[in-house]
Parts: sequence; C-alpha cells; structure tokens
Amino acid sequence: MSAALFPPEFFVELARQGARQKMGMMGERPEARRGDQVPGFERRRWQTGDRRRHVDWRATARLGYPVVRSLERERGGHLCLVLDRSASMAPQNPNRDVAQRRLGLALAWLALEEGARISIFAGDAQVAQFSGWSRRAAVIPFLENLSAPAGTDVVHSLKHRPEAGSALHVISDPWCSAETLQTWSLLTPGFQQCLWTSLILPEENAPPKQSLALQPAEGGPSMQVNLIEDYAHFQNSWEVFRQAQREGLTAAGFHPVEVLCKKAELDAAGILRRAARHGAL
Amino acid sequence: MALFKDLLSEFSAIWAIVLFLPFFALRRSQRPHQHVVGGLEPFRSVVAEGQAKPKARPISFWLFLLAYLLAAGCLLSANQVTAKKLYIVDQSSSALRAGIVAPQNGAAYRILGSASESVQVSDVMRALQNVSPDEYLTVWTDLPCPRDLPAWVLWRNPSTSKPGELLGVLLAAQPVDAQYWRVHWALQESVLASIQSGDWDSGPLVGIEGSMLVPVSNLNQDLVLVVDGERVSANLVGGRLALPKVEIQIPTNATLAWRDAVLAAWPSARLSTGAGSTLVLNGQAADLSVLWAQLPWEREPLPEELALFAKTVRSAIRTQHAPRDAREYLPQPQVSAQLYGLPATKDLSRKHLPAWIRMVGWLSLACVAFAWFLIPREDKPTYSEV
Repeated sequence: MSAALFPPEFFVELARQGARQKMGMMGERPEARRGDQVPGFERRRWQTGDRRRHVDWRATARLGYPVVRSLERERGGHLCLVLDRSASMAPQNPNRDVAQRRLGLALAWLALEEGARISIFAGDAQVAQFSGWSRRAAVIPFLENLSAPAGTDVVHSLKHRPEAGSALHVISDPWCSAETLQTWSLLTPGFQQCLWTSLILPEENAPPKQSLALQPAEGGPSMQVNLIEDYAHFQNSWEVFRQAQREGLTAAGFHPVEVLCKKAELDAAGILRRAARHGAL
Repeated sequence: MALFKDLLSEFSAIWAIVLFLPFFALRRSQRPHQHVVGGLEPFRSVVAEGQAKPKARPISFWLFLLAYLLAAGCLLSANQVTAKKLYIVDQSSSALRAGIVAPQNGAAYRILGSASESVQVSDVMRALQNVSPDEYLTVWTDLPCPRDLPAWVLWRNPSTSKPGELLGVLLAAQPVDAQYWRVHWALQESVLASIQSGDWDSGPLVGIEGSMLVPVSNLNQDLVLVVDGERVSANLVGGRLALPKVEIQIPTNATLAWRDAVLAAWPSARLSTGAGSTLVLNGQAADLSVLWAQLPWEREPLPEELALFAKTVRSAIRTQHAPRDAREYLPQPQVSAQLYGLPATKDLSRKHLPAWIRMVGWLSLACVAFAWFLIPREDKPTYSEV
C-alpha cells in the first residue's frame, strides 16, 4: 500500500517542493525567536520559578552553575489539517481519496520540516497530532490506515475543536453544502490562515457526453440527465456552480483553491506540482 | 452445424435479423449509464431545461432505420432473385415407403425414380451434374449421403429406417402352375436364410441372388424369408411376398381353349365370363380392351394369338406389380462424390444481381455510414484550469 500510495517519485517531488520553499529563506541569519512555546538554543541562569525539567544539566556541569534553556516561539506554528472523509470523496474511483492522502502527507511533511505541530482531523474518530522533524514518517502509516470515505459531509472535526491562532487547511471536494460552510464560518475566525483545497475529478469537470443515470455518492434520489445535446449547458452550469462554491468558501472565511486530481497511478508527483502552482502547498 | 446449415438454406432471410445489430449497438450506446457523482447541483438546471424541450429521436436513429429497411429489402430481393431452390426428390419405392416428401415452398422439383424404377446414388449424382449454377440444391432421398459431397448440396434423408436393417428380400414371384411359384430372392453376404411357404422350408439358400420353385397350397399363400432362423418382421416388407390378386374376365362365348390360355398365362388368376374381356389387378382394372378386342374369342386360338394374350397379361401385371429391385432394399456400397466431378464451391455471386438491388445495397451502406458519423461522440476531456 505504501509503495502504491506514496511511490518514490512522490518523495522526490516532495523534496523538490521542500527545497523550493527553503529557497526563500536563503541568506537569513538564524536568530532566537523569543517566546514561551518550546525550549530553544540559548541558555540563561536558573531563576526561581523555572521548572526543573528545563534545566540543561550538561551545560550546568560544564559551567558550574544551573542554567536552563530559554523558551522560544515555535517556528512552524500549528497546522490543523482537516481531511473530508465523506463518501463524495470517492464517488466512482479512489483517485480523489488517494490525492487527498498524498496532499495531506505533503502538507504535514513540509510543516513538520519547518518545525510546526500538526493536528490531522480525518473523519469522526481519527485524530492525530504530530510534532518534530523526526516525526515526519509517522504521518505515513496514519494516512495509509485511514478508513475508506463514507457517510455524509457533516463536520466531524467540530468534536475536536482545533486550536485558535493556528493555520487551518481543509482538503475536500467541491460538493460541500451551504449548511456545512455555515458551520465552518463559525470556526474560521479563530484561525490565522484558512485554506480550502477542493480536489476536482476529471469526470466531474468533463462528464461523459451521453445519457447518464446520476447516483449521488452520499445517498439521496437519483436523477437522469441527457448530456448528448445539453453538454454546453452543463459546462456553463458547472462553471456557475464552481463560482458559487468559491464565493461560499470566501464568505465562510476560507481562501479557496481548486486542484485537479488525475488518475492515481500516474499522478503521484503531478498532484504536488499542481497544488504548489495553485498555492495549496 | 448441420442444423445451422439447414437454417441458412431454408430461411435465408434470417440474415436480415443480423442487421439489427447496429440498432442494438446504437440503443446500447444511448441508454443511461450509471454515473456516481458527489452532488447533483450542476445537473439540475440541465434537467429542468431538458424537460421543457419536446423529446425527439436523433436523426441517426431514423437513418439507421432507413438503412435497415433498405438492407432488409435488398437482401430479401436478392434472395428471391438469386436463390432459386431446386429439390431433387427421390420417389423410388423405398423412398415412398419411408414417407419421404419434399416440402411445398415454391421450389422447383425434379423427380427421380418411381414405384417401379429404382434410384441409386449414381442417379442422383448424375442429376446434380446437370443443374444450373444459380440454384440452391436440396436432395430429398432415403439413400445414404455419399462421401465428399460438396457443401452447396444439401442431402436430406429424413428416413428413420436403419441402413442394412433388411438382410434379404424376396424380389418377385410368378406362378408356374397351380402348385408352384418361381420365386426370385436376394441376400446380403454371409447370411443364412431360407424361404418358407406354409410348412414347406427351402433349406439354406446358396449365393446372394437366385430363383427357385416354391410349392404353394393355395393362391393366397404368403411366402416368408427366414433369415438367421427368425422370420422377417412384418414391418419389413422386403421379407414377405404375396401374389397380386388377378381377375380376368373373358367373353361368355369364348372357347375352352381361351380358358386354358388364361390359366397358362397366369395360373393364379381368377377366371370369370361376362359381356366383355377385362383384367382387374388388385382391384384396379387394366386397360386392355383395345388389344383384347382383336382376339378371336369365338374360335380356337392360333399359337401366336395365345402368345400375344399371355404377353399382354404378364406385362400388365409386371407394370402394376413390378418385381422388386434388390438395390432398393439391400445396402449398397458408399460412393464418393468426387467421382462425378462436382465443383467444391458454387458461385452464387452478385453477378446475377440486378443493378437496382446493388444500388439499394450501396444506399443502405451509405445511410449506415452517415448515421454512424452523426452519433454524438464523447469528446476528449478538456480540463478547465481549476
């Protein structure tokens, strides 16, 4: 599963994207970012009130007086990654599901490389938190073992309210309902940055030009439509629908991004390139 | 395979059904395909607009229908024009006995044999050599199919009797006098057989064909051929033989010599006198009035007049009650059709088709091609940059 879901070319492209992001930091002088989140590089004398576990015992032994590592601001901050696991993520094939896992791993991987903490909300009971550069690989089995998309578009992550002041990134499909967006609009003000990536399948962008018996993946009454003669009308309707979705997301406080996900077997690196081009990575 | 071949022969128009396949393909391509989607919103306005428009079949449908009708008419006409059916029907005594009848469906018939004329495979093959090249041939016979028969000849043998079932046959009997009949017989090889007449038994017959004198106790005596110690079954008529019932009436004023002449000509005949002279064979009167009117019934006959009388009586009986042909009853060796030089294939090609049929065929093909191009194709996905 790992080789199929995250093939070697995926990691090659992931490394390329990581290097591309680091290029923007070239020439910067490392300096301490004072804060109160994580033990940093600089040390100071021990003061009353400092916790004993913050004492740098090696430096204390070397200097002869107790020193502690001063606290710094966490570099990467906190990223809340919300994965929509409703049935509409995989209506006919798992292409979008696979793309979501790949994009999720790429976001988590790069965030952890930057020193951020991440919380992944995937469905009802699947919540995971990761931090530390060395914990990047732990995200892989979590994403591999996600259950298959099922159920409806309810915001399960509300049960695990994300931390305020962090970044929010939702990876979903373009079929988010207005009620769901209304619920999200109550959450987004607490985040510094909100990004909504809609993964769009090729067959959604260009459905077969024939008579179709449409069956909603999340249940509900089916519908028959003849696209042989009304294809131009559908394309217009599809553009209107996407525009309405973008406006709804913007109103809910998100920055909408749309990424096309192609066939899973051939798109391990391409999904990262397109996501980076559209600003989702 | 043979059944399929027969179907093609008898119902050539079945190929018209094949023309429905493009229809099936078209209907299959136009039926709604199951398509699971994440949501229905973009499609709702399409459906709402589509319901307002009147439903109409696409022009490709009507073109396909026109092409089908043209092609069906073309094929049926071509079948009528080119496929002239010819039935070669065996009506020998064995085929009649087996109840072989060719169907009455407008085909031309060529009759081979009759109740008194035997038909062999060689006769059929010679008939096949003389048929015209644009005829579909079917042979209806009880004879076994020869080896290497060309595929364009259908050999139909609906007889249920097994070949070689009859091991021997009594061919003919002619009364010699009131007590003896001369009986002709034929056997298959290596068969132990004898002839029984009442309590009299001939003993083993020697050879495969011959004749012998058989004593009879009365005129209605049945002769039975006994093969391998068992009397021949009653439904195998070749093993039983009875004389025909012959009734001869001579004029009342005929002399006694003519009465003796009647018994000499056919000893088992029943003699009567009346107003004229007639011969009744198995209840059917033979027309001998012209010949017998010339005979001098009132005086003593001359030897040549007696000979003429005997000849007319015997020929009339042999005409209606002919001696059996052993080949009609006993199995014959299988022959090869290659000996008769029949072509392996037959050219029933379009060169016999009238021009208008060919034109209709081409028009049908053009309609199909035009309709095919008019069927909406699924375009290559053109992704808008999302």
